[in-house]
Amino acid sequence: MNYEAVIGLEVHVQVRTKSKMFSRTAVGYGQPENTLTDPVVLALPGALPVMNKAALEQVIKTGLLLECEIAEVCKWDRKNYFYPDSPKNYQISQYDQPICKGGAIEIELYDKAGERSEYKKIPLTRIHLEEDVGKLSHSAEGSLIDFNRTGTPLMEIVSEPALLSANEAHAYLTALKMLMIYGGISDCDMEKGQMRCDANVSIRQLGTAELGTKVELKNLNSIAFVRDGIEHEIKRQVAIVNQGGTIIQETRDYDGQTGISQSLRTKEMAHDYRYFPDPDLMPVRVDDAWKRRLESECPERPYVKKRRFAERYMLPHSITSVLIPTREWCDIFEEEAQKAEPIDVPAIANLIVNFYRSEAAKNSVSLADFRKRVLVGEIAKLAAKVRQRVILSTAVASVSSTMVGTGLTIDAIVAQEGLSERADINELEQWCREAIAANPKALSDFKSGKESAINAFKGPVMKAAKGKADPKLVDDALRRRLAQM
Amino acid sequence: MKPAGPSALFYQTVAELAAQLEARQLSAVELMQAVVGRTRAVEERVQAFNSFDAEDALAQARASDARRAAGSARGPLDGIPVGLKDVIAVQGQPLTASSRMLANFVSPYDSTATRRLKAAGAICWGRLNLDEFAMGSSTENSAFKTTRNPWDLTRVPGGSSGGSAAAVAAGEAVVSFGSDTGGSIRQPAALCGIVGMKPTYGLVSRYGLIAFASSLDQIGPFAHTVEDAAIALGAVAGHDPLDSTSVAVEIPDYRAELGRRRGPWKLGIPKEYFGAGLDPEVAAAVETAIGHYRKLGCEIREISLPHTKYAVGAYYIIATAECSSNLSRYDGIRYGHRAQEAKDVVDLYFQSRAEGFGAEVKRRIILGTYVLSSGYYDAYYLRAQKVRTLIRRDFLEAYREVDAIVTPTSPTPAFKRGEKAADPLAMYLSDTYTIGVNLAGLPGISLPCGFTKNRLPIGLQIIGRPFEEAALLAIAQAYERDHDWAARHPDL
Repeated sequence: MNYEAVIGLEVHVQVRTKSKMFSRTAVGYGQPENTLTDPVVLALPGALPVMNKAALEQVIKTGLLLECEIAEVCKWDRKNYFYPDSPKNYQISQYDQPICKGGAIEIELYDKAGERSEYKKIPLTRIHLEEDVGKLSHSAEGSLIDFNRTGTPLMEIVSEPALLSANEAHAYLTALKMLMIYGGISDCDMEKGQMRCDANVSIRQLGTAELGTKVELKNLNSIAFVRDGIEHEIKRQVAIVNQGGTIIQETRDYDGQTGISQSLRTKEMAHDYRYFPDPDLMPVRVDDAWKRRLESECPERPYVKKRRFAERYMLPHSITSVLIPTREWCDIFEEEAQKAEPIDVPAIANLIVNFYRSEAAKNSVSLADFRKRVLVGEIAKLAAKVRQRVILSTAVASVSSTMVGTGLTIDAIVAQEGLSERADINELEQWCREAIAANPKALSDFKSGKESAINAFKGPVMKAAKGKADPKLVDDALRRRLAQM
Repeated sequence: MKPAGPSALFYQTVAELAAQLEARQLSAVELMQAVVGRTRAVEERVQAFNSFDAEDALAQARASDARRAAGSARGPLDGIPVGLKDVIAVQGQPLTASSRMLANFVSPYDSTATRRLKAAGAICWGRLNLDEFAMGSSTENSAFKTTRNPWDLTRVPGGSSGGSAAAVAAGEAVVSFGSDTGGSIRQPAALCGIVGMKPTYGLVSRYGLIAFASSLDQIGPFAHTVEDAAIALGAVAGHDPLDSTSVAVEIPDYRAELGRRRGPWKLGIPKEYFGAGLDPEVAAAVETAIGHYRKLGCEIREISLPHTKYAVGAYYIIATAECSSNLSRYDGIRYGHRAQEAKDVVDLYFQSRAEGFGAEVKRRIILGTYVLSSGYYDAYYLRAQKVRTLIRRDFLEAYREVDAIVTPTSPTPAFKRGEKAADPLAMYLSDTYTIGVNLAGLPGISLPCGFTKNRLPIGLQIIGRPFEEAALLAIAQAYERDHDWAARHPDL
């Protein structure tokens, strides 16, 4: 029998803010234990929460980027349960009135060769804001709690059960992460716990509409593990059903290292969280003017940009797939493209993708500082000079390296390195003669019709020219000489 | 009863003491010594304090004298010993809520009210007893001691802020602060023969007040006179960015406003507050007080607050629901009482809370947990919130016709210790007249309006419009001005 999987994802994203969700203490990662605390974070007697407006704005922006309906009122509820990582023993969250409802994430699905992609919209159920919990560590001597993470603004994005494969789940998280980074909403660094994913997986007979019993997978701590875990779970469920068994509703832990999952708890142990409106926090009205301002701060969505780049600049998938994930590179590209002759635009994209990205990384130049080294228009100039053969294509690597490394302009580099100087044609012809004379084997090969043998002469000529020989002129000169022999 | 006239230092008002301090006829240290001496003399009988630190208080007094000598005194409260209910956080002082759970807890931070009192130069004097976590009406639910009514040591001082009321009535503090969730300031003020005021919800920050029921709790003052209450309230009132429920309203100079507001006022008498259960002596005293207002030219109107009968029920659902969640933080993990022999973390919770909380606190946590449970929420909590809206509407409707509402504070004078301790329902009903004010979020004041034949104080409650504390205080003072109840003190 044929089955299809139905998957819904619950993704927790730490929202980037300066301070915690309900207090003024800074958020942070990797600080000494229990240094990012205060009476509110530790739930000391008498401490009260005050909402971080910046965190709410981040979630509203997320909702706008995902085309959600934004609630008119942001209301807070308490989710009551006891656990040592939660100092109040309730979590401030949003129960019946999430700040965002509906909406969709556009995902990109590649063909098998990874060369072509198509897009699909995955509908969302809701997005709400809450506070993160602390971290427990256990040892033989006992258990310790670090409350540094406690109270970090945390957004939960819940999809409809509308993903049909592990690959779609992978594409969903990739798209979500890219969007969060674009919007400045989160860095989504899964190693730092900034993005965490639970997956609800069920299977059903192909062609049926009813949902099967779902199993929740927890602790999927990388995008690759999400894909692996879901694939593993689908296989597990199909095997059970094929052997005549039934799936039980449960929560399972998937270990990405070993590829094994085990049951954490079954449905009978489900909590009664006794949600009720938090009387310490007043509802906050979200008016149209506020929404409009936040909308104006939202960037173009990545896949919209990708399609626009393809259409407007004729950039191929091989280029956009590298450029698009980093909004700053897209911006740098467009700034250069605006300064350039249209004919140079594809070359500019090429220069960025193949040279400037690696040079920036090599020289530890952050994207924020890139424009301090490479002034707007310099990459466009480089592309133009290569087209005009003022700079030889062989010199592009060293030019881009010098530019990022030193901050010199293209004109200064050309002057300093003498890049526009060319070898004298008589000298060039002399080097050609010498190269041919030095390699009689290649000469006889060429004579007997082996075209590629000509390349054996080019290396010594280029070397003798110290980079000042135009490869095309060398080729011409060699052929002229060989024709005479 | 001592007659009116010049009284001992520890029984003088803030207004009187401030004038002497200002004139250098008195030092803050002398005043503090007098209050410490009085406390040492009577505390064994009154049992108002969970703890006090005389050395620390005298150090604060010396600092006050130094400010005054330097010409930088901070106003009428500078150098005045102010007692604080043991739910209001003071940095470096115990904060126990009269619970075993917090028996050894010392607050590492100041409440906003404390911070403002310190800024006004007040001396934070002692930790005043209460019903555990402010749950009760007699201070018998304290885990540590039972405070006595200074007028009759066999009787309760009321509650939950019984220590705060008894301390002022006994001369152990010049003014004090308590918290009022369902009457916990007004009822003990009435039973101890002093002034007690619950401000409008949102007027005083709750930051640093141990929460009982967040949507009902308010900090407020106890004092001998309305004027002192006005001075004390002015020191702590005003918007606080650390409390989302605090409201940004203009805070007038309440003391100065007293002189500017002369009436006459239209006063409403709600018929629902004068029915069965009201002690005849209390009824007679309140009727006499109403008669006095009539003599002052006030128009007295009978009004109706038709949903009054649902107030106690709605209150005990909302307050217990909120407290069941608010008290979850006391788990033995980070601070507070921790059971020693727990097997695992769940057992640690069970044992620590079983040992740390008293019977009434447990009763309310259980009740509150129940009303919030899945399947019961709509029938209890949601319905109680609807009732609450109706009760508030009753009051706001009445305020279209009247400026304030006058009622008894408590249906009875102080009752005997142990009299209602075994009957929670009877205890709950002693808050019948005060609870509606909390549900509606209104300001209410209790002031003395006479004594029973047994020399027990009787309290008059006046309920004002939201954020119109200035008018409420002026109405109360109009009565007080013509009576000498404030000058009478218990024999101790």
